[in-house]
Amino acid sequence: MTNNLQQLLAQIFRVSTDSISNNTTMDDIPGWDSLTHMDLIVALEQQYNFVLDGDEIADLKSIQAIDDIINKKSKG
Amino acid sequence: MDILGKNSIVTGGAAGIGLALVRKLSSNNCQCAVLDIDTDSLMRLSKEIPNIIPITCDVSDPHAVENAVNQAWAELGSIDILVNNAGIMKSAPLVNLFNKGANRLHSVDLWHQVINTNLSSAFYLTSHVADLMLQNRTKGVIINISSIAANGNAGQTAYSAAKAGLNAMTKVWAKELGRFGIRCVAVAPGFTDTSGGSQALEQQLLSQWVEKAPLRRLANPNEIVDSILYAISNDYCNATVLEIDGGLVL
Repeated sequence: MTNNLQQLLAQIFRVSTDSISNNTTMDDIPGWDSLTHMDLIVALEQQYNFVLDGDEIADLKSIQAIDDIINKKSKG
Repeated sequence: MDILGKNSIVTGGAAGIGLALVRKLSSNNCQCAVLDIDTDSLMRLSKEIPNIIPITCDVSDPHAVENAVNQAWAELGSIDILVNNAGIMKSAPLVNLFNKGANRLHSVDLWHQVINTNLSSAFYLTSHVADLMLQNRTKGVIINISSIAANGNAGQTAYSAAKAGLNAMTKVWAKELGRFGIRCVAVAPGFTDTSGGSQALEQQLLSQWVEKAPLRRLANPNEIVDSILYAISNDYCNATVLEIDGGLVL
C-alpha cells in the first residue's frame, strides 16, 4: 500500500494513518459504514481513474482488497 | 388546555419519550390510555402507575387501532389529548454498496414496516379519535412526535419520509379540525437518550451526533416531554412543528 492510499483512506474514514494497514478490515474501523463506503468508491475512482462494477465494490471490505483492486485495475 | 382531569391516549407509551410522558401526565392527574405493542412493559407500567389503562396494540394494524381507540373512549368516557408517539427507527441506505445484485436495494419490507409504524399509525389513530371528538363535540389536541430526521437524514429514507409526512399531516389536520377547537402540533426531537435510539444507532454514530450538537449531548426524554406539555397547554399553539433539537442541524 502506498503512502498516498494510506492517507486517502485515513481521510475518508476519519482515522489516523496508523490505523490503516494491509491487515485492516472494515470491522476494525467503526466509521466504515454503508455511507462512507460510497465516499470510498468515489474517491478511489477519481484518484485512480477507473470504474468499479457492483461486485468489485461489494468485495472491498478490507484494505488488502482495496490495494489489490488498485493494482489489478492499474495493470489492466 | 390544563391537563388536570383530562383524558389522553399515548401510543408507544411503555418506553422512551412515551413512558416519560405517561409518568408526567399521570402525576398531574391526567388519565392515560397507554397503547403499546410490548405487553410485558405495559404490565410493568401498570404496577408502577395503577390508574393507567394499558392496551396492547400494534398501531400499524388499522383494525387493532380502531378497537383500541373504542376501548379507550369507552373506559375514559372521552379523549381530550392524543399523542402519536409510537415509532421505530430503522436505518438503511437507498442502495447498499456492500451487497451484491438485488440485495443492494433498500428492502421494500423495511420501507413498509417503518412507514406503517411511524406514519400510517398516526393516520389510523387520529382519524378514529378525531371522529369521536367531532361526533361528541369534544375539543382537544393531537400531538405528533416527529423528528429532526424529517429534514432528511442520510441512511434513513423511510424514517425521514415518515417523519416529514407526520409534519405535513400535522398542518393538514390543524387546518381541518381547528374550526372545531381541535389543535394539532408536531414536536420534533433531536437525538434523544432513549433505549430505542441506542438500539437503532450504533454508539459510534450517536457519539458523532453528540459532537455535532451545539450542546454536546443528547436530549433527555423529560426535555422533550416539557415541549409536549407546552404544546398541550398553550391553546394558541397550532399547525406548527416544535423543533427541540438543541440546535443540531443535519
